[in-house]
Amino acid sequence: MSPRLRIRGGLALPRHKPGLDRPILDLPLPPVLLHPLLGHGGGELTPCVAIGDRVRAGTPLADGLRAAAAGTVRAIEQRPVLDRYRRHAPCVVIDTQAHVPIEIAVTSSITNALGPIDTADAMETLLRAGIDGQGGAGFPAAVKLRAVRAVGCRLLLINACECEPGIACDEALLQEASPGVVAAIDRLVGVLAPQRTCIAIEHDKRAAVAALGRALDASTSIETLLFEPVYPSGAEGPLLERVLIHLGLPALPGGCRPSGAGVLCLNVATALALGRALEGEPPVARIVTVTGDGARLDANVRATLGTPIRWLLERLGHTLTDAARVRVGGPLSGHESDALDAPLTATTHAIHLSAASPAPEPVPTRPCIRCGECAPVCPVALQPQLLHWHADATDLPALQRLGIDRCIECGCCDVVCPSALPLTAGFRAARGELAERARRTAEAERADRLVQRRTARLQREEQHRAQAPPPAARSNVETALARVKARARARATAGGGNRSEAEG
Amino acid sequence: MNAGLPGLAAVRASLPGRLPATAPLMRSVMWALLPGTSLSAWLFGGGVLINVLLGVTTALAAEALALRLRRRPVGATLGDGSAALAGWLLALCVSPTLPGWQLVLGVAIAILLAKHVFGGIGHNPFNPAMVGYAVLLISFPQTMNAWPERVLQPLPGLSGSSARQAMGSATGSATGSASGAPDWDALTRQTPLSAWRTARLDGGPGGQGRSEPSVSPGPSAAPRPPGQRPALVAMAWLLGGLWLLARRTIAWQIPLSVLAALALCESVAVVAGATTIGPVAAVFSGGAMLGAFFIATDPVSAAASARGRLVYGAGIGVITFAIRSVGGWPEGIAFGVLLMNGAVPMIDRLSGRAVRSGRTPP
Repeated sequence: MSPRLRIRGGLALPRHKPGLDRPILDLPLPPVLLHPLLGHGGGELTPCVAIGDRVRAGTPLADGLRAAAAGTVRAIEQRPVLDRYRRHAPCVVIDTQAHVPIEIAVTSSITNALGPIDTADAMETLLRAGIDGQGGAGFPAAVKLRAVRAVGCRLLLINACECEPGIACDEALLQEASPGVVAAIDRLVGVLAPQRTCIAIEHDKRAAVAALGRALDASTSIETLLFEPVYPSGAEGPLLERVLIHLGLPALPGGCRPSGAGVLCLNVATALALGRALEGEPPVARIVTVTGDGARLDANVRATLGTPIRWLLERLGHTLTDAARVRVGGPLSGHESDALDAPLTATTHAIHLSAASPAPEPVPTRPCIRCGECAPVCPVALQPQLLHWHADATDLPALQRLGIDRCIECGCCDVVCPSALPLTAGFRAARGELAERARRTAEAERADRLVQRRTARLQREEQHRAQAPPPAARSNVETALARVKARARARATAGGGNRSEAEG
Repeated sequence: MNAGLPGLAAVRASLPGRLPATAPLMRSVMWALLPGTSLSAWLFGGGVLINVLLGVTTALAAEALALRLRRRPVGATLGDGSAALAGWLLALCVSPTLPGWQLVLGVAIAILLAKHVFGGIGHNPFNPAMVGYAVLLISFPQTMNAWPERVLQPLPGLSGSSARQAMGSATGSATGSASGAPDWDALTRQTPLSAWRTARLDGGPGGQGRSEPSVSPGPSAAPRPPGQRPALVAMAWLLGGLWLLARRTIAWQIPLSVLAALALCESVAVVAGATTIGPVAAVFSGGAMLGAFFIATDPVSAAASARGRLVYGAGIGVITFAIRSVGGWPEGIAFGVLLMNGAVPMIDRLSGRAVRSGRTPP
């Protein structure tokens, strides 16, 4: 066993993992599935299906989005979503009750995992599988894979760290299905051929670590890295930083995604989905931790992507009032929503239901006294107290100089702040403002380039006209005169017989 | 637990080891000041207590006035204790015999001009107590430097000679009355550091000609500081400061770097052969201990990052040494704090830049 590693900063939060005492519950297919047409960056996708189309599990609905079950597209319309930034988004509504002839959904040319694998083919399968990361950020796996394919895979890190209280879906998955996960990782290793493969997991997940150890018995090429249970170990940046140091690999170059440096970090459920995609199974479900005020709700549930949250909760036996609110994700990284009709997506790793809670009353905040408590807990080594000062003054250049781009919005500084300041919310707003400005700048530059090109073109034409036109005009006149003369001559010689022809 | 969603509040509640909010934090500092304050009152006279009461009352009144003028909630902010603490600290820095109206003026300047003009708690670039102190020192050098003679006497119960041996103390010329029979009204212009300075400048011990300003709340009757009483009080400050460190109320970087830089400079001076009081005496004399643990550690006016705080504290130590040995004042910790307060934006700018990724985490 390797020594226990610890990410930089972070918080050792009390362990709270709901629903691990019972097996994962498999929910049936809901009557209706909703697939939000939202890309990773928040942009809207263009659907490639029309109302009335019949789809199967794995049928592409848009670029990077696939249907999770068979059915008929009933509508493409605005529906509520569990997004931090928007309450509604266009969704493809699939009616799963409509009769569909039974067919085997095949999205891959590889149907026999035991047969020889054509890696190029397999890579294409992975890229087309339309799998979003299930760790919480929802980063499309294809983007990472494409970047890694370009430079070669130095390290494949399977991220099984799940450090936030109230989220236990990955732990439940490992407890129950470690052999399947390891098999999936083995298949991925066969395709990606990484130089090293590691699984990072916190040591306090004893049952999961034991199950993983048993499953890994056969496979010796996969190293297990045990981490201290510190939030946010599951965040890719801090985790990778520590892992690279431990493995003696060079640190990632600044301003570069890990995948661009040949380091592929995948959430354990994402790795499983990718491994299954190699076997021809489309990504149709995810495990979600459902917990709430009533103990009967504590469970880890395997539900079809696109399942409406209300249906899911009612299926688990909870009666929902009008005042019911949910928290999507953990207490620190998640956000609250009352959009119970929103669907489950790849990033919905936990749902905490509150039957009747009023909107949280604002905590009284006090001025920052620069105590500096926030700096040592920051997992990306920022100075939140300085960021706060400049965020208050919306001094964006200073914020950039202090590295606000590297903030992962984990909320550790919020927890320790003795003045109860909403630091992360302020940083998020400042980052949004920065992104908006960058977008506007890019737009302005583009417009500027267009104007410059047009000006240059007009100038060229002007010059052309200034130089070339006089001789051209003369020659035109001359040719016209010559033509007239020629015509006159022709008329003189041939008479008036073919006048109309000459005029044409 | 509330029945609401497990948001930030629940996580906060589940973490008992967090730094307390401003008000409990200030209360901790006040508790830590109690032993030193009581000891000062016992050793230097009851004027210390009167000063503290006057300082705290004035500070609260000035804060309430400023908050009302700025239309801020008076009760909540007044209760955070920051104003009371500033008044308390300033009262500890001045002589117990300082006229009351002068102390009131100093505290009012500290709260109104140094704190609220800049936006109240969290926004003052300079330590309010030290601003008030500097204004008083420059405006009223006579009264600010008149300390009761009692502070210069050896401790009751110790014979003069043993005290001399123990603390290297008291060659008498500054000591007016006999030991054990304090004359409450007798004043001296001497403090240990000023006596030492005078002696050094005059080329011999115990010269009593010049009036020197002093920052020290803890003088003694010796050309070689610290005296017995101030050294004892300094130990009480150290005790309170260590308690605050153990509770993680104050940042360890600041007191450590202040005292280490001061001691290091003194050591270098000793090695270089200069006439100096030596590193141990340096940290136990004057306001070094009170300043290092209670004044320089004010987070608002100190550097914000851990590395920055080391630089900030070291700067205070070096400036204190420089002022004590070659400057125009016998004690320099107040000016050290104020000068380094002024340097904080630069320190923050240089040290606040985030650590590049790839370094080994601590």
